[in-house]
Amino acid sequence: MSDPYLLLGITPDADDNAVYAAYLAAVKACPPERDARRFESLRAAYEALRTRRARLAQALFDQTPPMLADILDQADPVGAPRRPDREQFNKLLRGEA
Amino acid sequence: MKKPHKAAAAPKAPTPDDLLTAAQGQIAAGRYREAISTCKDLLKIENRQEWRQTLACAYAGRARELAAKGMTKEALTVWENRTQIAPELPADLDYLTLLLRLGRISQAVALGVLAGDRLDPAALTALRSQLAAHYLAGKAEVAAGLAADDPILVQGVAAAQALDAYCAGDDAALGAALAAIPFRSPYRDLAQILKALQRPPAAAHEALELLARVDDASGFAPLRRACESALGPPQTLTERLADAGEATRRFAMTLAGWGEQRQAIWDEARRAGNLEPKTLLRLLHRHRALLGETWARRQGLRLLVAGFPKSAGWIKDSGGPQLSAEERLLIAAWRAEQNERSGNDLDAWDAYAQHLMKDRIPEPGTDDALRVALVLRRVDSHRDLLSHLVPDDDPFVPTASLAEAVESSLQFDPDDRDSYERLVRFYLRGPDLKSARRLLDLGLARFPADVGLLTAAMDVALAADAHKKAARYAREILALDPINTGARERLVKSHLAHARKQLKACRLDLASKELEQAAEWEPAWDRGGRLRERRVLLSALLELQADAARGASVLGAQVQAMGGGMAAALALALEGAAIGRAAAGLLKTAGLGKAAVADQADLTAVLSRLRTYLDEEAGAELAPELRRLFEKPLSAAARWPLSQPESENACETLRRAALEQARLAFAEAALKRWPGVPIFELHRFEAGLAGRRGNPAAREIDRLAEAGERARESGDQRTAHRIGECLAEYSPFGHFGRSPFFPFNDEDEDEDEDGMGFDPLGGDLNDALRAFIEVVGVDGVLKAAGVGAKERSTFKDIERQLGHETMINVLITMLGSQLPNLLDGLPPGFLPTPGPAPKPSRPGRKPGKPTGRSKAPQTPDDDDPEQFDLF
Repeated sequence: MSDPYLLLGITPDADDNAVYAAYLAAVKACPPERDARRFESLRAAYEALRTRRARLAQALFDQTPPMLADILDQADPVGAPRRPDREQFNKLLRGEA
Repeated sequence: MKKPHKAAAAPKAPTPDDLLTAAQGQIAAGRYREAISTCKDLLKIENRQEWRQTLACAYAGRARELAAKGMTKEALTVWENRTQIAPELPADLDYLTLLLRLGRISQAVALGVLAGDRLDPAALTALRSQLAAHYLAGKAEVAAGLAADDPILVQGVAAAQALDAYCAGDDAALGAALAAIPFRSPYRDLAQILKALQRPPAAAHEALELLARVDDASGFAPLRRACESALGPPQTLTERLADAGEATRRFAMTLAGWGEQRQAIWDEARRAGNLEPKTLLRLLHRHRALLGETWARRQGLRLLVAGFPKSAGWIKDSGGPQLSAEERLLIAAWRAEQNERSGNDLDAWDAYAQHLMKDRIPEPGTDDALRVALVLRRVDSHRDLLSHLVPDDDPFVPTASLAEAVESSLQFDPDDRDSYERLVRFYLRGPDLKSARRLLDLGLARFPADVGLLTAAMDVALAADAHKKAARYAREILALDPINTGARERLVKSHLAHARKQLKACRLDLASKELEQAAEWEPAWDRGGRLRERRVLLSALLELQADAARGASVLGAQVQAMGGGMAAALALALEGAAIGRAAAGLLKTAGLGKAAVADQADLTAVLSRLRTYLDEEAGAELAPELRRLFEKPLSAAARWPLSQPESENACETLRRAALEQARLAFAEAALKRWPGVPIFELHRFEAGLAGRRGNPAAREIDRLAEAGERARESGDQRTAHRIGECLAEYSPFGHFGRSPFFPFNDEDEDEDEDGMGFDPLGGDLNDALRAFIEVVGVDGVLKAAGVGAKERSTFKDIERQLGHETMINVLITMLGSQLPNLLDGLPPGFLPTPGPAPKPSRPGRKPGKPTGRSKAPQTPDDDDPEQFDLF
């Protein structure tokens, strides 16, 4: 995922405090010792959005083309695991692939 | 008449044993179609039961083969052939599985019941789990073919309750239902799967372990596979589902937390078959309401950069509105930035900034103003140019426009402190002190207590020889940051420099005041007391100027306190030179007229002092007078046994100071101790050539070339490169500078040449030189350049190998560096007036300024005494 807003789970109108709070929450949920790569991504996203000047610069100068994952996350972020319904079970019980 | 040929013997018919062996071999090799044919031949001989069973085996193999290819109907026909040919054999599990998959439940149940105990236990267990899975999925035909007390029916109630409870999220009911399913139940695999799904997301590995217990032949295996896909790492979910069917995909995505919209968009992208920009643009446009119009549009612009301007039409093709003028300018700037070599980025960003201000000039402090400021300083902030460029020194970067853009940005964002300092440092490098001061005034007005800006202000003052002002800034810095050692040192140096200035002007009282102030600020950490030493020497020189007799005594005492050796002599000579006093006279006065390097410690000290001087006076060589004074005693000091690194350092320091005789002595002494060491060979070669006319002897060049080879073999690439550079000057192409066939790589130059066509001198001059070479001939040009017969022969060999056209290009390249010399020797009218300038030097290298290795003769100073007078 390349969009720092999506990574931190914030909207483009977030201010300094909102960015900081989102960063803290994200690091708490995924501390560096658990996933160092994700932590690096979070850190980079935070640096890219930390100040008003940085956020404006990010909007003006970021040229990273979106990936499908970005579009999917913007449209409908992955949520908590959900339980499939009975019909979904039945299809697999009937041997459908 | 010809004799009739003897009739050829008829081929011997295979025996039944041969056919049976062949059929068994074909089955073992997986060649089922051939095996079926062979078995049929066998059965034509005799309808034996064991031969029919061999054919049945071949049919089974072929049926499995067809089923694996998805040819289920064909597979079913083959299975039926198997049943007909060997009805005594029980139905195969794969056959029954196929029947179930094709919905022929009753037939499968009947055959299964018929097979009963004749199936092996594993196959029977698998069959019953498949029947259980179908029963649970609502297939009533299963119940019709089974006894009322069959566990599939009896325990099916608990299994269905468990499944319903799981789907409803009722974990208590799920637990109760699972408890009612016995261990040896046909629903055992379902129980394992539901238990795995109850594990929390953090315990995914435990869940996967439970799932691994479900066998591939089980009727619940498809469910297991879907669960395994869902529980793996989220970032690779789509990779795991790449070949999965619809049912598995939907199940796994739901379980992994994918919402309906996410699944739908992913499906849409999958159907498109690629993730190219055009596909993503279509997705962005189609789902723009869900994604947000602004977000979707901005991401769409980013997809156009790589193919811009051709890609401009894609956005319309995807259904979106055409690009606006602002969007076009923005994408053009992004594109120019990605293609830095084009050199268009400054213009492109400027055009975008102008567009942003087209309707009205934004008020500082607003987002619009900040945007304009960021755009104006984008090229500098992105490429970090102002930190090292020198005003108007780099023809590839329009430094004036760049600095102007950054300065303009301050109108819109006056709070960007870094831009003030970057600009001040940039102008200071020029030096363009007037511009530097203008920016300093603006910056300090906004940030009066900023240490960085105050330091820049002090540097500007020092550059202008405004020592009082520099001292004032240093005091301000130290008031804000008392442990700022750099400022303290600069302040002391500033006072010392000012004292020298006053001494030179014979204003002794003012010089004395400066020295007092220098003493006041002398840092306690001053390594080796160098600053203190300089101050004391200057004080002694002041005394000497005020009262020659007393001064001579003070000076003598001071140099004795410093050891009285060569290091003290060099320190005194350097200070004397700085105030315009002839060093030779001063040394005599101080009693150092016959000084020599006293011992190894003195040698180490004098080299260290020399290094410090060269570091501080960046780019400076030792003054010619000092070189004459110190060359001989330093050469004599080469006898002291230094370590190899010390010897290397000594040679390097002497090279920087242009003390070539001493450098030669040290290099030769080192080569006696460490024969053949490449770096000393290089120093010996270079120092030996200094001041000598003509080219080195061939054996000298060969010796250096061998040293270069040794350096490369031992991995000392730096020395190998230096030797290569040196050799290039004496190669057969030396008349023109560096050879185009030079074997050592120079990455910087490669980079410079990348992407450029052959046009080293600019179009007009290039054409003129080409015409000149065509007329005069390659050999004629070489003769005109003074190339010898042997070397011209080398050129001819090269021409034969590379072709005439390439040879001309090579000559044009080489002639570029020697053009002025050649032009002198040409008849008038041969060449037009040069148009474009030749390719300029790289950034940071000042044209015409001699480097530390320059062998240009120094202007002799007739007034200087010979060193023999002194030592």
